[in-house]
Amino acid sequence: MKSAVDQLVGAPPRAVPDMMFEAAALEPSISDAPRRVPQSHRAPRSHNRDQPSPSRLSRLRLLDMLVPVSLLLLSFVAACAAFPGAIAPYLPTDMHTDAILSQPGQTYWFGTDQFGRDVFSLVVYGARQSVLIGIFAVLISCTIGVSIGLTAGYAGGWLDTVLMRFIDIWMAIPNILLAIALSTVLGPSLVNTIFAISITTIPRYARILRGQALSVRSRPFIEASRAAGASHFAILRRHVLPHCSVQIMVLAALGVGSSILIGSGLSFLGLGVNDERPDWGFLLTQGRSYLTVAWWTVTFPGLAITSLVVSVNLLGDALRRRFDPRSAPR
Amino acid sequence: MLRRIVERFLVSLGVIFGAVTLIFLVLNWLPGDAATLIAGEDASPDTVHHLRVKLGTDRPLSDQYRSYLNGVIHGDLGTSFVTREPVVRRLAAQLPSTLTLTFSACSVAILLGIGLGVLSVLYRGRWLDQLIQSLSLFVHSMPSFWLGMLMILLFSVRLGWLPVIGNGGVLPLVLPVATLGIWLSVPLQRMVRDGMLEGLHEPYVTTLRAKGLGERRIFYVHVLRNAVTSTITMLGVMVGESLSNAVIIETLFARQGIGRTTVEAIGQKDVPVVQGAILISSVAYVLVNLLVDLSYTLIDPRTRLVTSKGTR
Repeated sequence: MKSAVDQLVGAPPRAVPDMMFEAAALEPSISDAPRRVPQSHRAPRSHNRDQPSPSRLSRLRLLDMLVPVSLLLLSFVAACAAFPGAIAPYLPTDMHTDAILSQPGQTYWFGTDQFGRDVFSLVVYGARQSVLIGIFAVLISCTIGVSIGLTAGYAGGWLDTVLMRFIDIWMAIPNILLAIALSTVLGPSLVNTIFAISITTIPRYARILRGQALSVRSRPFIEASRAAGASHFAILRRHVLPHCSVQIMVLAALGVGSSILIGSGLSFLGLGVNDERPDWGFLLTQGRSYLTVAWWTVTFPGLAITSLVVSVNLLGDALRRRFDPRSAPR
Repeated sequence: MLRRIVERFLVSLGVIFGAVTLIFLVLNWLPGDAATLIAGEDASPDTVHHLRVKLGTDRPLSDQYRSYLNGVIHGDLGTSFVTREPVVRRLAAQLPSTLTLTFSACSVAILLGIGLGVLSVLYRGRWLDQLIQSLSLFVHSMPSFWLGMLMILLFSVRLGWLPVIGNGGVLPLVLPVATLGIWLSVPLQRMVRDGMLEGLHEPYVTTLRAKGLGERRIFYVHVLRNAVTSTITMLGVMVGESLSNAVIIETLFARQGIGRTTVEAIGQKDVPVVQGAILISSVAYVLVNLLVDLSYTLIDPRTRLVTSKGTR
């Protein structure tokens, strides 16, 4: 109990795990943490407000309308990642030496870069890297983070303290710097980049899921299954985990976005995957030298990253609004 | 109260110690040998061995760790593999530049975040609110360096108002600070907005109204203050994010600073410098969080109350 209160109240900064995740965190935000502590072991859905939270009521029409658009965009990116050859007009290795740094136009929709490569084709071929990073980094970090968080929250006691102190230490290293350290040591490759990003993002899942597990742990149905002779592992898997599935889904959706952003940052610094395979972050690094003469070399790859991340975030947001008890009309 | 401060301080020290260990393990224990990397691929095993002895990486890890820890306690972060210069001196020279950048960026982010948050609440549901929210989402989904590139394209290339790179004076600082500040302001803006919208429906507002206080005063003094107070907890996270992104922003704008030194050191496989730079950022992050934590206890009496009742 001590550590529970401590975690929620004693250490406000730690309850906001990450800026990207701040909006997503279904865990009570700092602002209302102190207020909620006394009821933290009661049903998370029992809110002391008699009206739905106004912030969700005045929800934004514009963002709602963008959800179908982002679905469409996501399918297009997925198609690019799966069959780039069918979409891109040229190969990413084709160098049109007669059209170096040419403006966007009919032949080259997004223009060409300093080697005369078609920027549109590069962007299409680059989708695969980002998609792979987004999916696999989240799969790994989510699995590990959720396991740590659920174990800590459900077990409580010394195990909880040890695990969460470890997570605190983990989080003390600013995220991009940890990813940098890991990918420096491991060397640039897709697998290593994914590994570095996963390791960096584990704590967020752990922290939030711990809070969830903590609030579920003392509810009657858990006690009932315990009394019925279910093992701790079975309870975690059959009861606690499904109970948190919505939160996990939302976190994972937003995690895809932030993983892609960290990945693009790593390749921008030259630590990502910079072999022959085109990569959006690395395209930006290359385009940076030609910024003053060829705006298109940086604009389009950046736009690709941003629209992919926006889409994922919009979907995550929509998911949250759909399932967040606070936003449900009564 | 004093007891709480001491306790928090000790915990932070523990976290710093843990972070030192973690960074050390990541950089020294994981596969990848600095000597091999520095010597290059076609160096003879003899050369590599020689280099290893010279760098001190031939010793057992526990030995290295002990001497590193001993150094850290005495304020010595080792010597650079490449320049043979003390890491502390090299990083200390870069620190002011990074501090200027992160401090200014955080200030911009706070002003912008609170300002936009309030605007958003004033015009809630209307087009200005929708615009702010959509832009926020868009900006926070951008890589920070791309935002910087767009700013360069607009303000330096197209309009010619501001220099792209440089280290002296205020002008070269504008773009990096604006980029980082805008990027960091988004979560703050959301928090202020959500906090105020929720605050407006709290019972205390009804009380104030019943008391006959004007709407304007309720809004700007009471509700805003409460919303802003709770954003203090974001400061720690914000500093962490700005230190993280300083690496990228400094590289993009070719500014001096810890971040750029880190990137250079990575290129040269200069492990002690990378280690020292990450260590400094982590310590800064932990210290800011400690300060935030303590100041929050001072500002918000509820946290004190719950802690004393709930734990002791």
